[in-house]
Amino acid sequence: MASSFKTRAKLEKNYFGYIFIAPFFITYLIFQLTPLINTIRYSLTNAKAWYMDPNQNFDFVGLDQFKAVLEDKFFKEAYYNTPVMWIMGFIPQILIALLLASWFTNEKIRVKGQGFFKVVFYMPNIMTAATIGILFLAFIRSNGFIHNICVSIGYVKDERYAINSEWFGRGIVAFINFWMWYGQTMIVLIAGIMGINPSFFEAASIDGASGWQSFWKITMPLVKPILLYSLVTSLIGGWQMFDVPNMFAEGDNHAAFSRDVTTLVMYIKKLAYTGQFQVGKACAASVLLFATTAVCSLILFYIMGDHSEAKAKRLEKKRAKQAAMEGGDY
Amino acid sequence: MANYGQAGQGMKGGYHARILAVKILVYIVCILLTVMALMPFVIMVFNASKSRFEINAARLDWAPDIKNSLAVSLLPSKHFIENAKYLLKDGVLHLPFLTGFRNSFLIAAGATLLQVYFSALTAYGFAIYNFKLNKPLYGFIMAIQMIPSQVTIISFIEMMYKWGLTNSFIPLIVPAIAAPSTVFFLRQYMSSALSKEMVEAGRIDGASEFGIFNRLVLPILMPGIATMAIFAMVTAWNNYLLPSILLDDLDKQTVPQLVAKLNGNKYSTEFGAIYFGLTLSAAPLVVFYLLLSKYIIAGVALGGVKE
Repeated sequence: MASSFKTRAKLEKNYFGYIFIAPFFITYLIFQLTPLINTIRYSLTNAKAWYMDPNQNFDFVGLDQFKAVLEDKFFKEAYYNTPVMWIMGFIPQILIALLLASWFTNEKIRVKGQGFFKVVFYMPNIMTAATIGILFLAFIRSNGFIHNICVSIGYVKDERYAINSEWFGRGIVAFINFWMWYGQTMIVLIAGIMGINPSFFEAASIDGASGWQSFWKITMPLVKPILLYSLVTSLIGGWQMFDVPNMFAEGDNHAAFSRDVTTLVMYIKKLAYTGQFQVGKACAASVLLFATTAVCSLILFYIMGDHSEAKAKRLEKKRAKQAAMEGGDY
Repeated sequence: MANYGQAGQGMKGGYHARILAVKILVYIVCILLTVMALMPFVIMVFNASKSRFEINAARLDWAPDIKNSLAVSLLPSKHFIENAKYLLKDGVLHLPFLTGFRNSFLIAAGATLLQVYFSALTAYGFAIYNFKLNKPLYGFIMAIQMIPSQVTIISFIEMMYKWGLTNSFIPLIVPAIAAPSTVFFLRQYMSSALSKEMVEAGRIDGASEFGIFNRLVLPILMPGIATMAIFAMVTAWNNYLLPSILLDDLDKQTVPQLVAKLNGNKYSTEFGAIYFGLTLSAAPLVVFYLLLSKYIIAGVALGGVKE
């Protein structure tokens, strides 16, 4: 009797689960799922922006918008600029982060002031990207800090000339990305390395392994899932790059190289809300951006995911998580 | 690393010397990176207190000006106040930064409160109640985590236009209720911080289901919620893309939008005022960061280890 009563009570209470998760799903349905479906729907039409055409008289045009986007040279440029700038920033980002993480976790080096360095290296990440973009734009203008260096080393002939090199432009965007993100990657990697069972390193050391060997044979394989995580999140974020390059390209005083730093999201925004307000075409470009992001992530998971060792890694990650939780004393 | 690796195999006498050499290298790199991280902000603050002429003087000769600008005191000088006036009151720029701060704060605070409360509620629903669709719906949340919001932004904005929600904060606050990665984090956090026995004990005491969540569970989850709140706040404060399209009225605009305007004016050769505006926009975040850096760094480490 008692036990069946308890079960019934539990069943009734379990109904509350739906009530508790309902706000999330209702909000998701309205503000995220509907726009996602509408993006695909609009991508098959010649829709204009709502305030240009409030009656929304648009026609179904099949895959014409996709064809138009793929033939658009501005799309091709953006589709080239975006990953190029991401890669140029990500390679130094992951290398410096790995180097610093291996130094900071090395028992023999015992770097002092790690707390200070972490706080300083992470700081650019928290700042408003718009502020960072405008700040660096001011630096490369014809009286700015970086421009003056370029003049003094002879990269720019005359102080009156603006820097007008496409690779300088992409380089500075990539540098800002690197500068904003290497601290974050470093902290994540340190947490991962600290989570590795110290007895692995002890055993390797007893067996005569050098620091270099134990880095490649123990640290690297065990932080691989974290590296994959950093890689995938950075790649997804990289394809959506907007704020910083947009600051270089928008406004009356935009940089001379603004076209060379135009990213896909900048292209999409321009299509929909300037010129001919082509929402349909912008949505087609959005669908292509989404597909690209998804395909890139899947490829990375496929290449980097090692399924035979998945179980061991999961254990390690669990341990890393616990270590990180204990580390973050509140 | 390379040096250190070879040291292990090298002769014993050279071992300590090698370690010392690596140590010196490590500190040199760290100090260089520190300079790299702080330099742009230092120049920004220095230039904010200089007049247009002082900044332009740098054109003629770069090297001496670095000395000059380092000599410039960080105390608010005459030009600092001038630049402030130019930016906020008299000048052509005339950007309502104080209203901007209020708008950004209202949006960030509103979005953060909704995001952490409803994410905790959702995570709790999945953690405690054993309903039929628990696993598939949670799997759905895990899957949608990866969808970037930028890909749906155009049709989201179209929807807001149709609903007449331009120049309203609602599109920037209410969607925060559905934040998949926050739900995921708090669900993970609950598996270590919360036990079903606690909830049972609350039920025996006759508390309602919502009462248990609000009065018993929320306080226990506070450390995890606070971590998520910090990041939600910063993300909402820094958001530029959506407000830049939705908020037209100057009085409704957020700090990042006003910052972007520091480039948008043809007559803005008042570089001192531009740097002042940038400093003004950075100041609250710097203070926020320095006060909470311990929790922020711990939070970054936590967030990264998640799957």
